[in-house]
This record gives sequence, C-alpha cells and structure tokens, in this order.
Amino acid sequence: MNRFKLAGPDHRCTRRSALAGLAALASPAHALMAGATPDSPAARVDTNLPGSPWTSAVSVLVGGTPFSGVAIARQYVLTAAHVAGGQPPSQVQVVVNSQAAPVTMSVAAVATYPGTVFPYDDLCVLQLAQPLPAGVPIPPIMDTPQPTGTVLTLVGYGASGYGNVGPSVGASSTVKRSGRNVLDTLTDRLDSSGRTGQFFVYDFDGPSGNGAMGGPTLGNAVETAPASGDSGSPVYVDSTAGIALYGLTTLVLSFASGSTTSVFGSGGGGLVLSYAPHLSWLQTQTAHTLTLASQVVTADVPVAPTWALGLLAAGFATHLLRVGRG
Amino acid sequence: MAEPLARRLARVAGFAVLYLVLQAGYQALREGPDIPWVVERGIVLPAAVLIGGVFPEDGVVAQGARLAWPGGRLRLLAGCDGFELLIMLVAATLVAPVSWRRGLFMLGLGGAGIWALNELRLFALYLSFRHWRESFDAVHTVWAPLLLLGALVGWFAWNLRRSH
Repeated sequence: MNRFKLAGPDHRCTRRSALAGLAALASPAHALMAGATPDSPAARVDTNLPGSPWTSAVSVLVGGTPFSGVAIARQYVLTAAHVAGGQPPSQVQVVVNSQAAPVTMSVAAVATYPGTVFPYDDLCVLQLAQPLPAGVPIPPIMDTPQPTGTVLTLVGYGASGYGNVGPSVGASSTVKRSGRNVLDTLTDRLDSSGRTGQFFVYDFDGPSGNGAMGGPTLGNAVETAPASGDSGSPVYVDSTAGIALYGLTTLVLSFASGSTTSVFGSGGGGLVLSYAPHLSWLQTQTAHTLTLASQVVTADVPVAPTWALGLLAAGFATHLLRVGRG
Repeated sequence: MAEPLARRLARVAGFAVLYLVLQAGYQALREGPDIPWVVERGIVLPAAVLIGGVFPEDGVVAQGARLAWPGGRLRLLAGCDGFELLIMLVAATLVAPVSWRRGLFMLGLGGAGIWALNELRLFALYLSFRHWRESFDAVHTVWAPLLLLGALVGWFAWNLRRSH
C-alpha cells in the first residue's frame, strides 16, 4: 500500500494511498516550476496581454493570499475547494489579468462541492458580482476522455523556482506562468479512503529524465509541475474546439516517502472535469451556461478561391495591356 | 504616345513572373514563425476587437489563428489572410508604368485597403456563421472574394488612369 501526504491549505494529514505502483505524497498544489538553468521562473511568465491564450486563468485571492482559478462562464470562476471552499464571499476576490492593468473583481457567492474532502471533489465555483471583462476567453470544458500521453498545458499563479532546486520566487496575483506536461496516468482514487473521483497524474521529468512514471520529458524549458500557489489552476488541452479546459490542478506529488515536491522527479495532478458527477454539478452551479468542447461549432475560413485569384490576375493584366495603348 | 504591343505584353509577363516569385517567397515564409505571428496579431486580433466592439456581449476573442466565442470557433487557414491579394497588387504595381510616387501611393493605400477589407470580410463571415449559417458558404466563396477583387482591380485601374 502506498502513502500519500494529503493536506488542506492550513493543515496536513497523512493517508494511505491506493495509486498502484507509486509511493506518493500528495499535497495541495501552489506554483508552476521552471526547469534548470538556462530556463528560469522569469522565462515561464505569460505576459498579461489581450493576445495571450491563457487569460482565462485568473488569480483567486483568499484573505489576500493568491491562489489560482479559471473562468468557466461569463460570471463564474472555478477553483479548488481547499482554496476558497467555505469562505465568506467578502474574503474572496478574483484578479483578472487579461491586459496590463489587473482587474480585481468581487465575489457574490462561493459554492463548494458537497462533502468535499481533499483531494476528492475538490471543486469550488465563485459567482462574480459582475460579468468578466470583455475579451476574457471562456474555454469550453473538454467533455471527452483524453488518453495518456496527451500534452497538458498548465497555467497558474504563485511561487516558482528552478526544478532542480525547488520554489524560490514568491506568489503574485498578477504574475502567471505556464508550462506543459504529459498525462501519465488516470486514476479514480488516490488513497484507501473508499472515495472515488477521476484524477489525472503526471511526473516532472526534468531536462533529460524519464521521471517516476516514464518519459520522455518535454524538455527543460517546457515541462513543469505545480507547487505552492497553483491550487485551482487550469489545465488545458488543445482540441478541435481550440484550447479547452481539461482539468483543475489540485495537488502535488512526491513518489518516494520523504522526498520533496515541486522538483524534478516529483509530480502533480488534479481533477478531470469531464467526470460526470463533477460536470453535472458545474452545470448546475453556472446556471447551465457552461460550454462543452463537443458542442463548439467550428468552421474554417479557406484560402482565396482559385477563380477569384485568376480573375484578379486577369483584371490586372488587362489593365496593364490597356495602359499605354494610346 | 502609344507603347508597342510587345512592351505591354512584356509587362504582363513581368507581372506573372513577379507574382510567382513573390508567391514562392510567401509560401516559404509561411512555414516559419513570422507569417503566423502577423496573422494572429495583425489580422485575427483586430478582427476580434472589431467584433467585440460591435457585439461586446458575444464574448469574441482572438485565440491564435482562431476567432473564438462561447460555442463557436472560426479558424483562419493559411492563405485566407489577404497576403495573396497583396502579393498580386505588389507584382502588378511594380511593373505598371507609373511614377515611384504613384507606385508607393498605390501600394500604401492599397495594402491598407486590403487589410481593412479583409477585416470587414472576417466581420461578415463571423456574422454569417453565427447568425445566418446558411449564407456562410456564399459569403466566403462568392461575395467576399468578389468584393475584394472588384475593389482591388478598381483601385489599380483608377490609379493607372490618374497616372496617364
């Protein structure tokens, strides 16, 4: 039987794990790590510009402490229950960084998944007092299963550091970082509590390693793992519907008893949002305003038709022939 | 004074050769990072701003080479970015018997016009795709190309006439 170290934001406890083959310690996730030098925490920063594809990732302030969240509808933000669950709305704010100047928004209501116990059902929906600013993209929820090997894009606020050293840079509600990892395992339980859910799990391979769950690495400057500050942050996948929200980062993992998290060789994971009970709850909490990736209608604007280019060329040629005709 | 036919034919041949050369260069650049960057930042993003300005409640944003909104995506494929039209205008202008001032004017204002018309085309495509989907095919395969084509040829002919 494997062991996980499970903890809420303010306390820690230990449970036995049922994740086959892994001796792992799991705790709430709080930041995105960089690789080793020449990569750096600064190199992972996603500039707060309207053109950024990650502006749906927002910061969630709980009593002034920054965590992470993601916009899932025009007036709703999803985060982890261990971040904001049970908090009075007045204690929670959402900081949107879709442009250079951050926009801080009030929260009207906090809805926590019924009966949540970390790391199970670790979901919390924040209803904003106002709709999100125009220009903030709302990613559709990826409602179809993703196979292991899928590349995940992680975006979060919070501390960072070098993957070979550990977290060293403080969290900030206006600095988001991004990185990628590969979905290594899907599991329905993380301990022997008898509770189930649907979790995605990955390891932090480092510049050249294969990690505890196998490689290969995505590379020193790409691969990342969460650490303190990223709880509630979005995990995206690329789909035919464009960027879609696959999951929510909620935990960090170490694969050997006594080893540290958020360094090469450790790992992370979170909740798969297509898990039916969770998706149903999210639909209810957002007044059925969620967009699912399978419902997104797409079309291509194709190349200029050949006949049009031919006619244009003929038009130019005709006038070139006529000019100077006398 | 009338120009011999051979010279005028040579001009047309020069136009064709220049177009092919420029088109080949464009195709090569399209594989690199620069053209996609221009498309995303210079074409898709302004279109999203334009649509968002008119219909703020629609939640349209630029997402790479896509216009994205809750429930829909419109993806710009390479080649629907207006570059081919610009290339043709450049080739025709470079061989046209006009002064360099007139040529710069034709290219400067013509290029800006192509960009603006292309933005309007994307706006129209978004509208038709979102609200009148049955007309989407006709807009992007017939009406939008005809509008751009007519405007460009008209612009070129008007400048040649002004020059002579």
